[in-house]
Amino acid sequence: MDFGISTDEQLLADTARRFGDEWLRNQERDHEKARGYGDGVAAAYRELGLTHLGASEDLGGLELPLPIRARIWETIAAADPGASLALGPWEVAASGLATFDEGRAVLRDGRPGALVVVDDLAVKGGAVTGDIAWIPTANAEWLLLVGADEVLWVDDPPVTPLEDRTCGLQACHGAEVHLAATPCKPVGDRVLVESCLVEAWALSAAAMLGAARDAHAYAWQYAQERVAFGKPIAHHQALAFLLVDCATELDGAGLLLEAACTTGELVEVANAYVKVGETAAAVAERAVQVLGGHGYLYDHPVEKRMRDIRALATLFGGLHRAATLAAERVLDTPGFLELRGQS
Amino acid sequence: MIDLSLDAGFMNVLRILRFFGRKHIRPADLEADRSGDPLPVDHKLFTDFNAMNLSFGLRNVGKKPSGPQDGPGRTARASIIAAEELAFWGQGATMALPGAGLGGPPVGLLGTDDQKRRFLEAPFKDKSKPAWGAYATTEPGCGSDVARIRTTAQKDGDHWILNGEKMFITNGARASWVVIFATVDPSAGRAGQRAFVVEKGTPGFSVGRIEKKMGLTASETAGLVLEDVRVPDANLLGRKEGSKGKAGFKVAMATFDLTRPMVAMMAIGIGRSAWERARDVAAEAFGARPKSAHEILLLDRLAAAKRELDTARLLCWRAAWKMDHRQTNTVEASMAKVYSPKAALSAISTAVDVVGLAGVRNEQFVEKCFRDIKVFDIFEGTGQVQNIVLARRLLDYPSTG
Repeated sequence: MDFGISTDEQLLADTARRFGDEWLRNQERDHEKARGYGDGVAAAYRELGLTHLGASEDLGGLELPLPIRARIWETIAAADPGASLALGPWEVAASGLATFDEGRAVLRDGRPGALVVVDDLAVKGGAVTGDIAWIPTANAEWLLLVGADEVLWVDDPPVTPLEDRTCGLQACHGAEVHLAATPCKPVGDRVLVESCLVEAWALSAAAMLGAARDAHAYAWQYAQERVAFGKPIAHHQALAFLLVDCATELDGAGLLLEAACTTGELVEVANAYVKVGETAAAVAERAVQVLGGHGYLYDHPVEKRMRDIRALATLFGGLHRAATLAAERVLDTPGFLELRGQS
Repeated sequence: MIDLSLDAGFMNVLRILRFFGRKHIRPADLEADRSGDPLPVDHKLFTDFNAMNLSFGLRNVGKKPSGPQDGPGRTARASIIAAEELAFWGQGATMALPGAGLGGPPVGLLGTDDQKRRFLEAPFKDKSKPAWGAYATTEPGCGSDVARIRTTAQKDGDHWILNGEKMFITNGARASWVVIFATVDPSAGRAGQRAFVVEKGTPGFSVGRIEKKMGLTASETAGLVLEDVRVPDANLLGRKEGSKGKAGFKVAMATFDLTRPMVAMMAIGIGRSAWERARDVAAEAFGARPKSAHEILLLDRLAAAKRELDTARLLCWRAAWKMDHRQTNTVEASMAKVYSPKAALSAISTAVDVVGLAGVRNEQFVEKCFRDIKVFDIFEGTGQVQNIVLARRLLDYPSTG
């Protein structure tokens, strides 16, 4: 049993934190307005290797294990919840993309695209038909469609950048996709489906966790400075308990995610994704509540955290899909001793 | 990176406890629950337990671990893992097991060598005769606010005269000795508190009522009455550092850093036992066929309950790991304590729903878990007290708030 953090891990997290503070945190509203991050941010992100955390070394990647990648995503999301998704969208599918030629080219060259978990696309004769209402990548050059039993590759999909704004992740500038007998290619079976879900859910959960932690920290600070009825609002028991409850929930959810990423098992990651998603949504909403009317304004980041988390939780099949998977497999859950993977 | 693997030493502890729990704890726990009375002092469980000579749990409070990679001997990790496993099989019977109990930490941390010999060694030497210690702060008029205790201690030569009443004392009636917290000056609050070891048979020291409780029936919960009880100076704790016993309150607080994660893990153990029963019932009832909407909903709730129990366990393990690495863990201990009982209660309530109407019948184990679990959000600091601890530590929340 070990809950420590190595020096290397700390170094990577510090690097990510510095990037977030320098390039993202105070420019969030500008990026949201511009529906993009700009070339400077993208170049700095690439320069630090953040675009290639998961890819193997022969593809120019750092080949970091999932728990460390998740920690980096969490750290960057604290400064801007959508940045990692926009600046390195292939990261959520790195292990899946690495299993076929076109995917490896994406990883090597850093071509933008999107992993989409789908239920209702019609596949016939090597072509796929159906609509995808939102992907968080306006300039997607590829899609990885993850179904129940197979994974499909779509090169150069018919993508239409959105004109309307999305609830959150606006700097990603979303798009809609109308697939009409669009050529596709099967690239993997159920095994690949599962590895895609593990990676996408783990990193998405990490982004939600980082966003929620940041909203909570902001509300925490505000509550100690804002005075009402003669004392800081943090010293009114109703708010003090609300804030410490959130701190406990966040710590618990974070530990569950870290543990799940370490196992790399789909059912564990699904459970952690659901737990983190539910916790993050609740914590961000409470952060807005702590700031009262100010929380509702663009003057503070908490309302954006709440919107971004709401949007994040719909990607990759959404929390409900992960909860369904966890429920389907719950009867196969082993006992405590076996859970630890020891005999 | 987090590493949740347990080495061979921990696994061996678990195996031993699993064997002992299945063979001895569970039957005794159910027997007491069905009879409605605590396990009698001559119950075979107690001599069987003594024969095993296990060393972990509260016995290790105050003892330094030999190192972070310590085996399953003197570590907080071993204590809490054992706490979960024993609670899984029956927490009432586990609390009734012989030993110094919660009285051990204050004597171990504050006692002189002579006191340790008299209270922690001598009574427990004869393994064929189970013996107990106990710990008493709570009174009818004060629970969470331990600074308000009204049991008094007046100096009289080389003795102290104790008067007052104690309540909710685990193993209080059968204990050879009880650590009694009393005040030399009620207006001084915590500063006026002292801890005394009061021995069974001391004139004026009597047992009040054996409580009838919602759950944890196997465990004896007693009221104690002190009427002009003369306690020698030699039984005052905290004398060794020349503090004249003033460290009493501080010790009570420091003990919580281990006992809170332990109690939290007990709650998880009970929650897990009901959860596993429900999982097995569900698997047998509708495991291999297509599920109805109702059944899918129950499975979703089972999965959610598992998430919460796993989260709670990680909070507890982190608190224990920090303690073993000599890092301050008061915040983590309170987080574990506030989170786990609620997670366990929710899991057990789900288990009752999964079992259905039969779930409320005593023969279906899960209803017993439901009765056992509630007190875990009350003793060792209520959930609300944990939140106050957290708010004070993290938000500079005022003590008088």
